[in-house]
Parts: sequence; C-alpha cells; structure tokens
Amino acid sequence: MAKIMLEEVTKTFGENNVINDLTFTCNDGEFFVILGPSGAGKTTIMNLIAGLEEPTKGFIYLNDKVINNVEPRHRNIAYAFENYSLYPHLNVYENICFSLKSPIRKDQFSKEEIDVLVNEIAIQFQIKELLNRSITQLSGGQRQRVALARALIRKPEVYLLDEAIAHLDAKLKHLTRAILKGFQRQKRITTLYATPDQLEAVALGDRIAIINHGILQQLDTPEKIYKYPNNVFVARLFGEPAINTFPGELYSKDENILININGTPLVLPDNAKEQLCTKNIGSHVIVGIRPIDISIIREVDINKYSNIGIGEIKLIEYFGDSFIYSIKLNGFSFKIKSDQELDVEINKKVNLHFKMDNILIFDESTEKRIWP
Amino acid sequence: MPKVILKNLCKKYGDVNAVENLNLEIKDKEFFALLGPSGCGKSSTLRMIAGLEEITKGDIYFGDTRVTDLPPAERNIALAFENYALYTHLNVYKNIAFPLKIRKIPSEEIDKQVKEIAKFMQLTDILNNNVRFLSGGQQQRVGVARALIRRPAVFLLDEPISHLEAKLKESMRTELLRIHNDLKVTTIYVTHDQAEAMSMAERICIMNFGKIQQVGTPKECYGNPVNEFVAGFIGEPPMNLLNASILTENNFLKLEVFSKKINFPEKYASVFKKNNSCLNGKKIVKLGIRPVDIRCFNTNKEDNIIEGEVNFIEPRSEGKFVINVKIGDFYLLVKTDGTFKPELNTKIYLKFIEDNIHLFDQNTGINLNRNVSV
Repeated sequence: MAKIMLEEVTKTFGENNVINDLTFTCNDGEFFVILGPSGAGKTTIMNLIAGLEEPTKGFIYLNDKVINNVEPRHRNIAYAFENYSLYPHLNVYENICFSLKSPIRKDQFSKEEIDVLVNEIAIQFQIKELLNRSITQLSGGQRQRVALARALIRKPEVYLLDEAIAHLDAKLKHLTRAILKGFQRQKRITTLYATPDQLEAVALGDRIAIINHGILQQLDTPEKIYKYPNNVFVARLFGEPAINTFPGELYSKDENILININGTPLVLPDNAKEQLCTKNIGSHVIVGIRPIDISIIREVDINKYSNIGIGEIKLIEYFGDSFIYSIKLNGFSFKIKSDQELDVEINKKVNLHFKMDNILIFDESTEKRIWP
Repeated sequence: MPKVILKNLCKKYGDVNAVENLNLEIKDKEFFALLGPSGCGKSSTLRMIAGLEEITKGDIYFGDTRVTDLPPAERNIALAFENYALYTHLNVYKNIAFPLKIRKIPSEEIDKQVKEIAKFMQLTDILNNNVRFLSGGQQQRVGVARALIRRPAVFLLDEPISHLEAKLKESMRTELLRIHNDLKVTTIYVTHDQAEAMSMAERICIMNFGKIQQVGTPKECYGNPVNEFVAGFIGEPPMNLLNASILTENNFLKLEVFSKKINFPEKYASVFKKNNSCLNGKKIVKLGIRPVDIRCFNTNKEDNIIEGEVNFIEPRSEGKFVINVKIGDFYLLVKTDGTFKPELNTKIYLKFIEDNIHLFDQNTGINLNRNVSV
C-alpha cells in the first residue's frame, strides 16, 4: 500500500521557482508518468519524493503521513536514474544485490535467497550473461538495464524511475518497456516514472502528469490528454508530428459557427454551437488540427467534401510506414501525415480537406482550450 | 558545386580499423546521410572529408580535385557540430560574421551577407542578443548560419540535432531540409537516428564496424535491406527478426515459423528454383517482418495464421497500437492500423503479409534475394 501525495509543493533554488505550487496524488499501485521537456522540474519532483531535496513550501505525504522530514533511507523508496550511478569497483551481480546487503536490511536475506532474486531479475532484464562482468565493460544500454535491475530487485513501497530507459536503442527500448510494464503490473508497486518522451509516457502510464516550468499543466489518462488537452502546450506535446496550430477568427453565418483561417473558412461541427457561446463569436482564437486530420483530395472529388482549402506542397518526409507533407496555406505552414504515398509534387498546388470532428480551439491569450 | 568521391578510404586508430576501404560517390547538390550506431565509423569518415582527421589510406576528391592532403581551410567546406561551438562572449551577429571577418572581408560586405543569412534563418530579431541566452533551437540556427555564410562547396553536419527535444528536432529537421532545398549545397549528414536519415536524405549510406552495409534511397533501404543489420536498423518500431525454416511440402516451398507452416513468399521462389541443391530437408534462415506488415485477428479463421498472446499494448496517438505478442519465448512487435483493438493476455492471431517477408542467410545475414537481381 503506497499512495504519494504532493500538496502545494514549491521548490526554490536561489531565485528560481523550479517547482511551483504543485499538487497531485499518485494512487496505490499506479504507474504514474511525469512528462515534460528538459528543465520542466521532473527530476526535482523525483528528488523531493525520494528525500534528496526538501520542499521550500508545501507537504509530501506517503499514505496520508507527512514525510517532509523523513530521511531518504527510511522512506522505503527505490530510485533509478538516467545516469546509472553504478559502483564501478563491483561487478554486475554485486551491483544488483547491493541494496539487499545494505546495513539497514542486514540479515533480512540469506545468501541463497539473494542469489535466487538476482538471477530472477537478471533473466527478466536479459542481463544474465553479464552477471560476472565488470561495470566498465558494459555499454550504455547494458548499464541502464543493470541500474534498473538494481532498483527493482527490492520490493519497496515506491519505485522512482527517472528517464530510466533513455539510453537504450530502439529495439531494447520496446522490449524494456514491455518488461517494465509487465513487472509493474505483476508486483503492483506504486511507480513514478519521469520522461521527456511522449511515446514512452503514453506506452507506460496509467495516468500522466504533464509539467512545464514547474507547473502542472494536466493530469489525466493518455487518451483523455490526447483528446482534450488543457492548453496549446499540452496539445503540442502529444502526437508526432505535433498538432498544427493556426491563428483564426470565429464567426457565425447561416446558423453555423465557422473559423476563418486567413481567408479559408471552416465550418465547426453542430455540437460546437451549444458550447461556444456568443461571447466567443468574433474573437481571435488558436485552432489546433492534427496532421492526420487533414487529407489531400483529388480535383474530381472536390464536390464531395466541405471544408476545403488550397495549399502548396513544400516538403515531403519519408518514414518507411508513413509520409509527412509540409504544406503552405494562406501564409501558414503546417504538416499532414499519411500512411500512403500521395501523388503530389513539391511546389504544386493541392486540394486539402479538413476533418473537423477532432478540431481543437484555444483562447488566443490564455492558450486554454475552449472547444471541445 | 562538386561531387565528393571517397576512394578506398581507410582509418586506423592503433590496431583498430575505424573505417575500412570505403568507396562512395556523393552527387553534386545531394543531401547524403551517413547512418549507423555509435562506433561505426561515420564520424571518422566525415572528419576525414573535413580534413580534421588524417587519412590512413585512400583518397578524397571534390570534383576532379584531390583534396586528400589539403588542410581544412583550403577545402571550402563548412562544418556544423552537435554542440554548436558558438563564441559565448559574442552576440549572434558577431558569431555569424566571424568566418568572414577572419578572412578580412570589408565590413559593408559582411553586414550585407549577415543580414541576408539572418533573414533566411529567421534570426533577424535576435542579431544583437548574446548567444548564451538563446534556446537550443536558436543556438543551432546560429551555428548553421555561421557555417553557411561562407558559401561552402560542401556542407558537413555531425549529429546536428540528435540531442534536441523531440518537438525541436521535428522543426529543425524541416528547417535543414528547407535550407538544402533552397541553397542546394552538397550536404553530408552524420546521424545515428534512422528517422532523421530516412526523412531528410536523398540517399543513405548505412555503416557498421567501419564498413558500408548499404547505399541507397530511403525507400530502397527500407523496402529492400541487403542484410539483417540494415533490416533491423531501419524502421520504427524495428523489424522483427526470427528463426524460420524453408522446406518443401508436396513439391511446394513452405516456410515454417514457430512450428507453423505458412506460404512461401513468391518473390523468393526464384532463388530456390534456380538453386535446388540447398533444399535437402530444411534450410534454416532468418525471417524479417516489419511490425506494420502483420495483420491481426481475434479468431483463427484465415489460412497461414500464427498464434500468440498479447503481452503488452503500447497505445500510440492516432488510435494505433504497437502490440507486444508473446509466442513461446519470442516477443514479436505488431503495429495495428487502429481498427483492431487488442486485449491484454488474450489470444491473438497473426498473418504475415507475404510480399513483405524478408529472408536472410542464417550465417552471413545477407538477404537471400541478393543472389538474383535486385
């Protein structure tokens, strides 16, 4: 049983508020991802929970008990970092079992029990053949798996994993994510996982807390965040390539609400009428539309569609199983993603169809979502 | 603008062959990528082209000119690194102007050129800012502007955006492409990131252990990898590589995968018809199949089905999933198109798209279609 709660936590270094009035609860057994760009404050949050930093203001709770003043070693938390911090004078085996032999756990495990545990976790993380190697002989990816195994061999109340698989190559990353998620599901140990990588966050997180400049931007399930991002920052963080954003203007015509993107009118879905009240009409907004929601259509099909614009292809990027087209429309640049190769040429005009079902609209000044 | 020709290029560090007998021709105005894992020799190759690294053996030509023994300054190249190496005590303007200033170009001419390139690189508004206070993306643009202001014959880029954040990387990628499309400078781009190489380069040279594995367009390297290494290196999620055997059943070629017999891919049939002797009993091979080239079903209604269990589901945005399927001791990655909704720990039925199966020699890793015309 372990529930972690931060209540109005602020952390200041010198004059910098690295963490600003942060409140969230990570539930028992949850895989909780902290996502944000570098410098967002992710590592500081981890350090605060681990007890390596003290909050300037606010409280940290473990199971409803304030732990601000509890020593790190009494918090029963296992921590794995991006930069491993393995013991170079010990071999892989000794590194992995190190925490089981620490003085505060003295005599808790027999030599045989330790051996079983080390072998078990080494098999899971596919480093069994490395157990007798020296740390200095390992590649970055191997070190990272050793560091993970060392952190996960204990059964603490909480795991803290800070960019714990950042240095693995593509193949190992996929495998390690699967292993990690399987491991966590099986043990049901509360896990906080910090990463700048949205793919990783979506793959692993039961819920994701998005942090920027030390401030919580959104906390929700991956699906909800993708569909209903609180603001432009969150919208841009999710999805690859990033969501296209344009300045636009809302107006009404023939009972419809439309957006004018520099001369191209797009009709919003009917249900937008109820939510976008009259005060929004005439206002300047930011329109967000995902690269998969714009398609290129043939000249002959143009009458079958509404919400059409004419753009010009500027760049084509190939990714093996998909294509990304950079397009210019009314002076704005944006991207389209397609699984198929389209019959288009650079610097040629194309007809674009905007799928309006998933369109997002944000307030121009606050950048907060106003629709849907 | 010249083409760049590398002839039997070798680089040794002590006893280690960092680059082994490299032969390459990079076309005039081409965007060419050197791609490979760390230690594959790509950066050594680039540094030899730049003249920063002594050449152990072989020659480099820019057009008809042999530049092997020329110092870097006389090669008319520009180099941009990952770590920018900007002068932190100077502002943006002075950083960009620096290469012209040391050449004693008149200041009016410098001013004209700096403003021109600044406009092109969207740096006009920050010309007077100190580079220390710029964002990573801005610093990168200043670095590129400084490199390009000399109008080099060849532009060399060494992992220029690898360590930028995903979103910044995305926009820098587009920016570098735009620069290349507009200026048409022969560009050699070193990276370990296959997505960067695939999306930007006209042709890619994939290297491993100092040797060329394949030179080709992104589509050739993705669609027709010459060996197992290239197959596994290109594509995200990476290609599945598994053991399979080729056998005959009633005079028909078949593939055996996870003890299931499936249809033999037609495109490889000619290899074996020509060379029947290799098929006494079973021939063990490596089978490569990309995660996008596997179809999923809830029921076992189709032919050629392989059965597995859903071990892990990675939701991707856009409603797609990457499914980790456990088959015996093997973990297979499958990428769905979003219409199939997997469920954890349930049975899943898979079908490999026959045309997109790749077969590699079990020992050499070479694509079995290399025996026939490719």
